[in-house]
Amino acid sequence: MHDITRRDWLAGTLAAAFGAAAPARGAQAPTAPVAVARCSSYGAEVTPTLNKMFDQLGGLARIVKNKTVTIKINLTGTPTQRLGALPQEITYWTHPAVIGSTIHLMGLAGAKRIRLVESPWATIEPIQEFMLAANWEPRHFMNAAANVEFENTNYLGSGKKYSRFMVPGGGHIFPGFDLNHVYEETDVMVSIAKMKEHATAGVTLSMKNCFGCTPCTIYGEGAGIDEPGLVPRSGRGPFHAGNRAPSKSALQEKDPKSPREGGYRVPRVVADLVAARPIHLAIVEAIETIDHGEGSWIAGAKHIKPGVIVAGTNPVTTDAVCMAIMGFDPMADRGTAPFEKCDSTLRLAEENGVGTRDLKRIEVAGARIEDVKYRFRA
Amino acid sequence: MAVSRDEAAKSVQFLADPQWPGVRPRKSSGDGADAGPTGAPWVDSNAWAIQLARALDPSKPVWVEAVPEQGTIQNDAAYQLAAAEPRAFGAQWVVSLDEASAKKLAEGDSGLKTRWGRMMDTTRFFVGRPVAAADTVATLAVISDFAGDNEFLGKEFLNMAARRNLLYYVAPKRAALTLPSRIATAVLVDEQKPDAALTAALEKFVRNGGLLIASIGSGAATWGSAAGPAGVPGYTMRALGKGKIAIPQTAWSDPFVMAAEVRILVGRRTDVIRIFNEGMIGVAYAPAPGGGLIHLINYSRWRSSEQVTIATAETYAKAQATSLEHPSPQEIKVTPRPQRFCEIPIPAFAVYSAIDLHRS
Repeated sequence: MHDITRRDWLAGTLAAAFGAAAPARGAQAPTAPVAVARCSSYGAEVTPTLNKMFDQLGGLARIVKNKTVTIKINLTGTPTQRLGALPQEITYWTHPAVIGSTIHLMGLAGAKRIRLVESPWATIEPIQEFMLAANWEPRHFMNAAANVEFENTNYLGSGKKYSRFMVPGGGHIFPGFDLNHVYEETDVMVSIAKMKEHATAGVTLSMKNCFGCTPCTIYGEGAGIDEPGLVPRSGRGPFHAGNRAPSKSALQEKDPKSPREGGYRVPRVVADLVAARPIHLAIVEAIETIDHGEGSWIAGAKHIKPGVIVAGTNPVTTDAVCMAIMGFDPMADRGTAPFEKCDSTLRLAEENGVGTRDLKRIEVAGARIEDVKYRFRA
Repeated sequence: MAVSRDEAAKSVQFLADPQWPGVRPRKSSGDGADAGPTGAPWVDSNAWAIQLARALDPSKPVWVEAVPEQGTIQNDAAYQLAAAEPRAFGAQWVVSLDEASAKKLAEGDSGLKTRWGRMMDTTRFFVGRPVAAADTVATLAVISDFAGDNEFLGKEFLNMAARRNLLYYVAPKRAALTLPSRIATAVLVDEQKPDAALTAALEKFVRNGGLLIASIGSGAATWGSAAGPAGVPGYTMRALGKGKIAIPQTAWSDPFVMAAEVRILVGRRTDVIRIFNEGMIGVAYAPAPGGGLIHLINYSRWRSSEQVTIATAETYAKAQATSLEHPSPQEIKVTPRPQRFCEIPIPAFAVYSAIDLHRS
């Protein structure tokens, strides 16, 4: 690495993120730089902070110019659930200031079309309506750049058929997934996540955020038996418990005798999803967030203010840096915090050849991890 | 002064089929199927029926003779709820005890005497307090004759819509001829074509910018011109003047599904109130001099462990809460949000709370 320039190195890692390089497994999994920045509020400092971080990653234009960008955000739960009286965006949803600033900067960088996507809980309600119900204003996103669209990906949505994504290497549980069409009509896939612990998967960061890409019309409790349901009726319990098969129209489990345990299944589903539908830009924000879990329904969840944003072009390297900032060892696995009762999604994704979780192989730009560390289990 | 039920019925209307209000874990339809698609807790409520009764006959006050099911054990809060729910929605509870409790009270049981005292405290709490006005700040009108072939869907839609926090104005067809100006969306439930007067009124409503969600049998599919997809699978949209008409491609049959579809078609822009961590709370929201009055009924009968917050589309300067626990008004902080709504955190309450809202 010392023999090449930073620009060459960035170009190489970006190419790897876009799948131009041959898949590599385990210790050979690709690396990519991760930008880390302090950001103490959701005010005017968010946009310049993100702009600087994107520059540290080689510039946003080279990622999004003339491209169709799909941004998966995290709006977990229902719009009327809150942690106490606190709005969702300062607790466990990605904040509109981070989403809006990213859209704005992508527009300036020449993105052709930007789609905001999420699969909100058990509804075909448009994302805009879901946001309104939480007292958000979706027009702010539409005004942040040209050609901003929304899609509820929890069902067929505006498409005519689902798109199939195969997992390179065959997958741990499913060989592939059927997703809403927007994930296929995507040049650049972006995951904007909240930095949180997770009751089932230990942590939820840029990769686990993509668990919500899957349509509950196929993979949910109330999914159709033969064909996808018309509407999502519940959550993704079958991914956790393996208590029922997806609609027969989709690819079925490779081994129905594999463990029916969420701590085994969810990390594998996530690792396979991000291998099948690669993430090109991962942004994880923890200006404000919660600890102890992923939402208000987790006992003991508490509002905290780590004041940090992390971004990278590889979701595994990005999540590894996030884990280190949270006070966890990204090399940890089942039995060690935060994976006391589950396997490590990072390890599984690394084994899928998505990226390395080894901090020694990850260049960190901007703030030092030690300087922004915020121990979630303090 | 003693008045017989028959004598009372000359000047009041007794609610048909009153429910003992509260939450059941599940409600079986007899064949073992859950009433809701996910087996969610079922709320037994008289709210929609009271609103309907008041709309069908505004001249007579509504009395609710709710008594607990035989053999069930009720606590004090259950009786408080039975008394409070009718008041919140503009009716009166006919004070009733279950048979066993009545017998014990007659025998001088001290525990029952205490309960009776609390029940009387609850009824006294409401004396002199404003009850829900016939008027409502709702922007959705539900139009039906609520009779004959239309009775099941009309009534059950009201029941299901309330569970989706859709506040509505109940409009028997004659009332629909002159909808309040705040109504932005009207649902025409009945599968028959409306008469000429109602047709003219609804066309005018749509031409002026309203959204009409009309049954397939209403004939509204011939009004205006095709306007593309409606945003909800199974619906088509038509344009007429400044407004639109959404029509299902097949006749409505399941009120649960119908309420879910209407919730999406109505959209959130016309919400007048949003409630966070609502649990099993029912809402009545009426205009009041200088502001508004919100009644909150907690069907769980337990203080929420989560902070309940209401958000109103109208901006208020001051808010005061009263509850059975705190009969004296408590000032509450009103927090304006950038997105028009203002948020008001509600002090914890087990059964009933009233929020008085003041513009200045």
